[in-house]
Formats: sequence, C-alpha cells, structure tokens
Amino acid sequence: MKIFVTVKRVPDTGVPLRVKSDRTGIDREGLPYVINPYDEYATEAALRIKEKIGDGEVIAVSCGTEDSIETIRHALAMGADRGVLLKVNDEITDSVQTADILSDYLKSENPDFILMGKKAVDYDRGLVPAYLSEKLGFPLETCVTNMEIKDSGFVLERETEYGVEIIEARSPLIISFEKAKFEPRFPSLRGVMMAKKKPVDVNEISNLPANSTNILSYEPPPERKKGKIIDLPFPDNVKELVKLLKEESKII
Amino acid sequence: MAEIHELRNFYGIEDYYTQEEKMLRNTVREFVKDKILPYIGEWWLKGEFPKHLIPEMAKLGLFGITLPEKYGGLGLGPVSYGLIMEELEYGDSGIRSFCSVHNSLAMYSIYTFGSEEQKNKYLPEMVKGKLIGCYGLTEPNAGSDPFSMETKAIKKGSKWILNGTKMWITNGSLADIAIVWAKDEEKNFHGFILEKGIKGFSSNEIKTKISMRASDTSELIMEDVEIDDSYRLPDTVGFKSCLMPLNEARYGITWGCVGSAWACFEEALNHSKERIQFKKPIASFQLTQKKLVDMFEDIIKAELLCLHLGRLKEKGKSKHYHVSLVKRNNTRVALEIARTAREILGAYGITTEYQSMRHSANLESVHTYEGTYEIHTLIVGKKLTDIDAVE
Repeated sequence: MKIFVTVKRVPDTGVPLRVKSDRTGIDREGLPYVINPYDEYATEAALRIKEKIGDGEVIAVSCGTEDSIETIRHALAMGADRGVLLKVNDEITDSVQTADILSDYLKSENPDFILMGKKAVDYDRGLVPAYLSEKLGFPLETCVTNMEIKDSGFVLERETEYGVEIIEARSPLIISFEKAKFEPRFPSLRGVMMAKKKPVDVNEISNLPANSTNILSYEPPPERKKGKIIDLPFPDNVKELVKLLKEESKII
Repeated sequence: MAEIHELRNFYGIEDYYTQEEKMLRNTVREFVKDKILPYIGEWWLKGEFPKHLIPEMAKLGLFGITLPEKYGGLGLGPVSYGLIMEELEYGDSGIRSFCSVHNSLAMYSIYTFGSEEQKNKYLPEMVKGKLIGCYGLTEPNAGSDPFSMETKAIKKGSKWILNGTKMWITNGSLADIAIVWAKDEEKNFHGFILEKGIKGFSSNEIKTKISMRASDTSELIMEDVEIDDSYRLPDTVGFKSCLMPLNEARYGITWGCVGSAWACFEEALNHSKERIQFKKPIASFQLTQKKLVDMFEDIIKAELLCLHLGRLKEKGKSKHYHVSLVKRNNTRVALEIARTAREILGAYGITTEYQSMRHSANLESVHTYEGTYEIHTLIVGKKLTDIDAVE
C-alpha cells in the first residue's frame, strides 16, 4: 500500500508575521518555520495506517523551495519512509499551481491514499485537497477528525453542525485532516538521526503550470486600538461606561 | 519590536549549528514545552521528580545521547548533547540534572571503565530507561576534596566489602544502579556498580531541600555491602577516573545554564513590556533596561562560550580547565540572571506561576555541584599560575 502525505513548510504559528514595507509579501528574515500543523495530523494518520496493516510505504511529498526538505525530514523523523520534494525556485501562492504540480507527480505513482492537512496555516485557503481530488479523479473526504482501521477498511469521522459523521472509506481516496482526536507523535531523537539517512528525491519543476491568481499586495492588519480606562469613582464610572457604549462605540 | 527568536539569533549563532543539531534541539524543545513546562511548578512545590516521564524520555532518546549505537545509544556529538541539555534546563535544572547524571556520570562510567560484559548487561537497559543510574562520589566529609573520601572497599577473596556513606546523590533513591567510588586498603580508588536491593545498600531521600525540588537528591548508605569482583569497574586508573565523568557532566551543565537563563530572561522581558507602573511599561525605565541588557549580554556570551567549547570537544581539543572556565562563568551568570529576572517580575516573581525564582533556587545547586564555583576558580587559577592552591 502506498500512502502519500503532503507536507508544507509554514512560518511558526507562535511568531507574529510582519508585512514587508513594499507590501510584496511577508518579511521572512530569520523567521522560524515548522511543518504545517494539520499536515502533522495527516502524517500521524498515515503512520498509523502503516503500523496497523503492518505493510506499506509512507511517502512525504512537499511542493516548495529547497528549504522544504527540512519539513520533509520532520515527517521522516516521525516515521515516514521516504520523501519527495517537488522543487520550485520561488514560493507558490496559487493553489491551482500547487495542485497541478502535485497531481502531475502523483498520477504516475498509483497512490492508495493521499493524506493532507485541511489547509496550510500560512495562506489559509484550503483549496489544494479539492483541486487535487478533481485533477486525479479521486474522491475526497474533508476535515476528518478521526480515523480507525477496521478489518474491512477505514472508518473516518467528521464533525459537523449536526453531530459526528461516520464514513466507511476505501482506497483510492484523498483525506484532509482537521485538528484530530489523536495526537501527532513527537519525532524521537533517533527518528531525527534516521531521517538523515532516508532518501529524499528532488524533482525539479522546470515548467511551472499556469497560475490562476496573482496576489497584488499585502496589507498588514490594522493595529488594535488602545483601550480606555474610566478613572472615576462608582457609580459615575458605570454611568460613563454606559454613555460611551451608547454614543461612542454604539453597541447598546 | 524584536521577537524572541530574533534575540536568540542576535549574532546569527543559528548559522553555526548544523541542520541536524537544530532539529534535535527543536525536538526536545517541543517535548519540554508540552510535557514539562505546564506542570513543573507543581512538581517543584510538591518536591517530586516526574517519574512517569521516564518511559517517554527514553522513547524520545534522552538516554544514551552520546553513547555509541553498539550499546543502543545515539552516538551524537557534544554540540547536539549540549543543545539537548539547554532545552531540558529551559524546563528545569532538576530535569536536566536527572538526564546529566544518568548519561554523563552513570552510563559514561560504565562505558569508559566497564568490562564488555558490564557494558552489555547495563547500557542497553539504561538506554531504554529500564535501569536508571546515579553516581556516588561525594560524601558528608568529602565534597570539594574527594581524595579524602572515607568509603572503604576491603578485598575478601573474590569479593569486596563496602562501607561508607555518599551524600547529595542526584537520582539516589529512584536509581536502579549506583556507580560508587571507594578506597581499598592500599588507598587505591575503585568504582563499583551497586544494584538496588542488595544487602546492606540503602538510600534516604533528602526532603528538606529548597533547591532542585523536582529532582531526587539522596544519601546512599553502604553497611557491609558484599559484592563480587565482577561488579568492580575494571578499567579505572586511580583517582583520576572518578573525576573524568564529572568533566562530561560539567560540560552539559554549561549548556543547561544557557537554557535556564533564556527562560528567565524571556519572562522578565515580556513582563517588563506589559507591566504598567507610573502610566508606562516598566521596560521604559532606564533601570529596567539596564537590567535587561546586562542579562541579555551575559546569555549571548554564555552561549557563544558553550558553542566554542563544544566545537573544541568535537575535535578532542577541550581540556578540563576549558570546561571549568565555562562552568564557572555560566553558573554565575545564570544565577545572576535568574535573580535579576525575579526583581523585574516584582512580587509575581516569587511564585511558581513564574519560573525565575524556581530557576534561581535551582541554580544555587548548579553553582555548587559538579565542582563548586570556588573549585573551578582554582582549576583555572592553577592553569594561570602553575600553582595548585589546594595541594
């Protein structure tokens, strides 16, 4: 069984981002990066499938610049068997382009499962799983929160407004993961050492597929307005507060 | 405004670590963030070492870090080892001490002085965390002067009879095996492996500590402990052998101090920017800024020293006085930084909701153990003057 996991290198979510002064992108100088957290759930799920059935191969695929090897190594350190970097020279911000590159590679690989994060936390679009499903002609289950492996196949859970959906799944299939009920494993130090020895194929993408969107510019979010302290004794402070809520912020 | 990750990389030090070293460090950083930091204040107050984490620590690979793969270790280099110690002590000096002692004192002694049979018997189990080790050198009357130790080993046929007391032994009560040093009738030093539960061998945990509370510190008592010669470490070369492991552990301490210092600095910096007094953040006062800059400068220097020492060690060029200079410097600055951070935190700083006072209390031990500040001064002093002050 061939299980592919897509992984993306994203800025560490714990670090505030700054827009470059010319508004052409994010200031990436010295920014720490992590594996996209949703992709970690997908990786964990892939490893669990392999462990449960006692056979198969988990392949971590990333479409990105050379630095994405680091992210592939994280998945390898968790336990994936090998990695593939679909290498581009500049970061791709267009989901159709990413899906085209992934599908060009994956269609000749005969995957049984493709596990993905529901979105990458950098651009937050969440479109690649759907585009990829369309391009490969594979069914897609989105925002999966749990996965159990039964003798007959896979049982997936999705949390909806109406309760938990329980779905029986068979390959070939694309599954995109929400924050799941299971925890992704910590890569061990030994895993990090082993990751160094596992193969990572680098496929240079020389002809970029056409893009469907262009980001014109980035606007930093407006700065939060300073709070106001009403420095009056009771009950004047309450009266003042009510007045401000009515007249200034107009919320009551 | 500079973010912490930018401050940590003030002199671009990140470029001087390999990709693998950084990945190993980040792995331990995540572990500490998830498994240690949320609970450490409580463990510390209760005076408990988190024994339940031992299997997870073993799984992570914290035991046998530098040990060759042949015995189940990871065979990592000194800089990786150092970075791991730094991250552990970012959590707590007691957690780092647990790993330091198990790795650099207990496993290192068996690996360096043990027979092949002893290595095969103990090391793989120690890597798995099934056996935890401690190291008994210090005694109630022999601290800085271990040469004067009173523990006796009397040869009786193929057996040895051990009598004596070891003091301030990290992991002493929870350990399954102890490396214990003793003098024979000819005043030769020998190291022995004592297994927990053998007749005449017992431990008492020291419960009255107000430092290293999340660590087990104990007394080991040997009353007519009779063991076979096969439990003696055969490859020791006299007194020097009992100091060699210390040099390894001291090296790890130098990095550990950088970790506790960063933890204190970060919380003091954040607090100073948020705490409003006299209608402005206390970070705007020159007095506070000077404190922050002094702390920062000392951490940056401490980390650069560690990295340089680590690279020297990689090439087999580090000497014991190199380690002493950094152990002396880094324990001093880490302790000062923890105290200054507590000052900046004001009254909040005296609680375990914050970290600085816990670190400060711990660092009192770090400043003293594995060679006191004074002893390291004399080691470097001897290098400078060629005069041994304690002879």
